Amino acid sequence: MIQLETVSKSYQGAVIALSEVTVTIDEGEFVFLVGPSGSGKSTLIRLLLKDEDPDEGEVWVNGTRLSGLRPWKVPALRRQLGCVFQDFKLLPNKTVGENVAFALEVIGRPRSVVSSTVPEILQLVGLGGRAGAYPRELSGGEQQRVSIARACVNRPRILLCDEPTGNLDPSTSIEIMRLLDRINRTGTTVLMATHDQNIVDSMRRRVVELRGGALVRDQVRGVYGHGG
Amino acid sequence: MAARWRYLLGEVGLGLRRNLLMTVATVLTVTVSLALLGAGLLVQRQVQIARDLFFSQVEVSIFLRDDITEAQRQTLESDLAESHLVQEVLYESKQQAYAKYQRLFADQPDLVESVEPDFLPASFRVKLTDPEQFRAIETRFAGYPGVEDVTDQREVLGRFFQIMDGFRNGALVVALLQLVAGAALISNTIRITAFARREQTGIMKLVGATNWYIRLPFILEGVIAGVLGAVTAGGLLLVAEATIVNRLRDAVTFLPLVRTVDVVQTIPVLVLTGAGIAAIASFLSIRRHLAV
Repeated sequence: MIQLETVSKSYQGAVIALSEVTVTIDEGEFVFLVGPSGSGKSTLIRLLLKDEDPDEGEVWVNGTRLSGLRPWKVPALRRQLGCVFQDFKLLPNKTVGENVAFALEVIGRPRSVVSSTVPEILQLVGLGGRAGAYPRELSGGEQQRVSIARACVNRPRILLCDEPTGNLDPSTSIEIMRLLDRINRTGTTVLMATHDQNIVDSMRRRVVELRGGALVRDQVRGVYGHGG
Repeated sequence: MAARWRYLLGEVGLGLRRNLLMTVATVLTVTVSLALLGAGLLVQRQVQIARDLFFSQVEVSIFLRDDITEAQRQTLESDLAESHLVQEVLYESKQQAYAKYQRLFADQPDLVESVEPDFLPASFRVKLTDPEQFRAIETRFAGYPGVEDVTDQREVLGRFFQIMDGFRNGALVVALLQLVAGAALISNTIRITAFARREQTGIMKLVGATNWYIRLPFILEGVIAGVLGAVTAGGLLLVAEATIVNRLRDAVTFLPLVRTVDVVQTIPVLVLTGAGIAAIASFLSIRRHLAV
């Protein structure tokens, strides 16, 4: 499903973001990617999106070797991936429903599909009645639910989350985690970068830890860290 | 497909309205440049009309001295008639020249009165088989006894054509500069739009919209500005033709001027140029300012 093989990446040839990282994530897994700021978590996610290319090594996503992927095929890759970010990335001038519909419209899905799928997914994330609201009228947790709805509306096989609870209080974070867990149980692979220790410790899922760009730990049913 | 078009038109409309001032500036610049380009093309057309007309009628005048003898005149006439360069030769006596002069300036009695019937020289009016062969005629007959001067109307016309070519070149140079300015404005408008929409563009990239889907609204915005400018320029040229050229037409009866149909024929050229330059400017700007 996701495979990195001795992947290295540095910026301006100096700052090392990833150093010979090898990891495999299977279909349907839920994986926490942990490590301090600057340890390479976000870079790894950008490589999976082919937003950047590694200096060395190979990245496979859904059986596709990304280094061999022609630029015009990148959109097709991204349609198989859902993305959730710390800052939600919602469009302020569109309603909740329009924000979610936007993700389908811009990849050319027919209107009938859009109008049937959007209410369904909003229902699923618990925002059934808020389709007409604007992002600024929602709480942080609700905005993140919209963002998750948008990431999942095209039924991606993999959901990539970069610090999805970074802007949320602990109780709201737990609700978001419940939602991600539910999505994972439908068969979607979830890779979540975080440094929220409580969440990692309470979920007891696979933990992959990066430090200074190197993979230092890969543990089934892991916790955030050994005292740091 | 319908959803795509709705999105596209919505985005284009939004972009044009959001930068209304820039859009107006762009359209006006393109209008001025294409109007000048059109004017240049019409001057070119005018020169061609004039050239065709005059070349079909071009004749060489061999003016005779007043003291030419009858024998000299007859030798000259028969040599002219036998020359393979000459298609037709007509003798114009001093009286005929004066009559023609009177006719030509009938509405200006002052001019007619100022010239004595005796004043204008007699001449041979020679029509050439090939108008380009003027020099050959001149070298051969200028030295004949009794010949005052050999002139070609084209020498007079040459100056006219020079002036017209100057007008055309001037119009084309200014048009070119204006087109560069128009392209720069289009490019700048797109940069602003790309910045204003960077969040939206980022999301589109993330969810897998194709590059062309992201770029098309930007390019269309530029092209619409270009086409609007071209159409406005075409309108201006039609107005100019209906007013200025029509007034000139009454004054300059000896020369047919460009007509409405000539103006209409230049409009597609203007539209294509406007749209083409706008598309190129948009495309280059997008490559720089809209990373996809």
